[in-house]
Amino acid sequence: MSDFDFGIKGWWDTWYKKFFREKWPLWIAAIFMALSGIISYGIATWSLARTVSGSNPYDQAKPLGTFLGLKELGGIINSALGKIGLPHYPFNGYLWPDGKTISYFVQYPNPFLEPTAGTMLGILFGGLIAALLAKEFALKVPLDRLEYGLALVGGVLMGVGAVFQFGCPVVSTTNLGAMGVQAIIMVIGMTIGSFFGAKIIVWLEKRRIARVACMADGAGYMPLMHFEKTRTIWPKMPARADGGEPGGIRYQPFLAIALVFVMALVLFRFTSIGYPALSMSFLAATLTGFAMQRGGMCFAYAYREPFLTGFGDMSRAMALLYALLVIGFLPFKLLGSVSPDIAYAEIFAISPAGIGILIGSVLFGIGMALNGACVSDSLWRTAEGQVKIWVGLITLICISSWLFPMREEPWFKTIFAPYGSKNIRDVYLPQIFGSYPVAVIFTISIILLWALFMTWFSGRTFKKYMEG
Amino acid sequence: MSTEIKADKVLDVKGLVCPRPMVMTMNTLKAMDKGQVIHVIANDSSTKHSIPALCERAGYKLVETKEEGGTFTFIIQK
Repeated sequence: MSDFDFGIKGWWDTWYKKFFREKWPLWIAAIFMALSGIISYGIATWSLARTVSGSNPYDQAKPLGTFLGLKELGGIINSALGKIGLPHYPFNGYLWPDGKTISYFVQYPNPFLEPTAGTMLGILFGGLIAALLAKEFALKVPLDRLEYGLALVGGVLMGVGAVFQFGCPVVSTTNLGAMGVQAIIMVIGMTIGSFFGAKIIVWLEKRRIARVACMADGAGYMPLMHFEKTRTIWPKMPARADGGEPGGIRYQPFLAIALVFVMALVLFRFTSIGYPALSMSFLAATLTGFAMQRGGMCFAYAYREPFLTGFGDMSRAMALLYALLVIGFLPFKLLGSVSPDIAYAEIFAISPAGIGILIGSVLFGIGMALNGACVSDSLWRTAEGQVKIWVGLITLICISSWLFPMREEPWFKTIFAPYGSKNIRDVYLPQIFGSYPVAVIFTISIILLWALFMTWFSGRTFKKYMEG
Repeated sequence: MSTEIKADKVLDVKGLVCPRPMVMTMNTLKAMDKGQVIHVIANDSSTKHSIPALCERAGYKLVETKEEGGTFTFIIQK
């Protein structure tokens, strides 16, 4: 019996360590993220069919994205601060290919029921569960002013950029998978922006490390370059005198299990009162947050590191994610030809394009390089207890919520996003090429080219580092 | 084991968030001589992936990695 117990325990320990404690290979995390993105797209298609058939109009899921949800929540903060911006922006309905609009939403009953607000909370929750299961949660408050400065500047740039580029990098993945022109411009713009962001960081750090190295006084047993400026609020460290883990760390996996039970009850309740699509959408986003935390998947890292430290592994993982989404979304897009009622599913997540996307994505790229995280990265890292990231995230959501109404103005559309404003299919690649296969090949070629460029630049940066 | 390995430098970057711990580690290692040892102490989870990747790629020897309550210690020999 004891052998049997030992066998089970050994098996469990091995798999727990592999799945919940060790970092996942990036390609595994990319596959999980793609899977949850595809599931989200499927749920959005299903909820569209339900809406068309006259079921609960408020239970409307959307493909994976976070920006509109952040903007909704930012509206709450802005309202509390002084009623600036729109606290609760109404959704006007989908524009159908024939030009008619179905206005089945007047207003969401609650900002938290905005579909991407649920997605955003799902990524946050998934990140929290993953961090707790890995015993990596720690409430860390940096005391370094530069960290907060970078978070504030990065948050403002990302907030402005998100409004101009119609979303965040997660939207770019969904949009690229959906074969929209907007995403291709976003990828180019964020790459350019990250290049400049990386240059700013290199300049800042060179000055700083030179100054601190001069200050190192050799106190103790070795020259010490002491940058530590943080206060860990919880769990209390150092470890116990007997060498064991403090309770705040040891019990984190149990807290995760308790939270999963609470989540299951909440989702069960939501489903029973008429929100099955939102509940499932939340679950899919939880998987995204979980995979991002486990793999350390970070859009800011993928775009910035080839120019900063010379690492392109994350860029290649992101390229894999992009390509998988292009292929994974196809079956849902083709459903429109089977059932015209859900033809809108074909152009889910496509947004108008124009010079505003390029301007916004360059600003966003600089901002996320400085902040160290974009929106979705911020969510799972917020869930790890990194307070600096909270500052960037809150700044971003307040700024974007405040500026968001501008996006609906006719002058904004005319100047910054003229293409597709009247007919969204004008910026839909299969429509532009007149062929699905050509659009798929074109999109995947762009992704491949981007991955090759980032890999080449990584090699160049790293070679300079080794030789320098 | 870590106490047996004498460090020539200690880089304590707890409280700094990606990408700064990695950039500082790279810059500090660059300024060190071959064979010298550095202890890098960080609490940003990105370092769990990035610092071992740096060692593997640059040919630095990652002598030891320790994790305690979200704080990571890397002992690296250039």
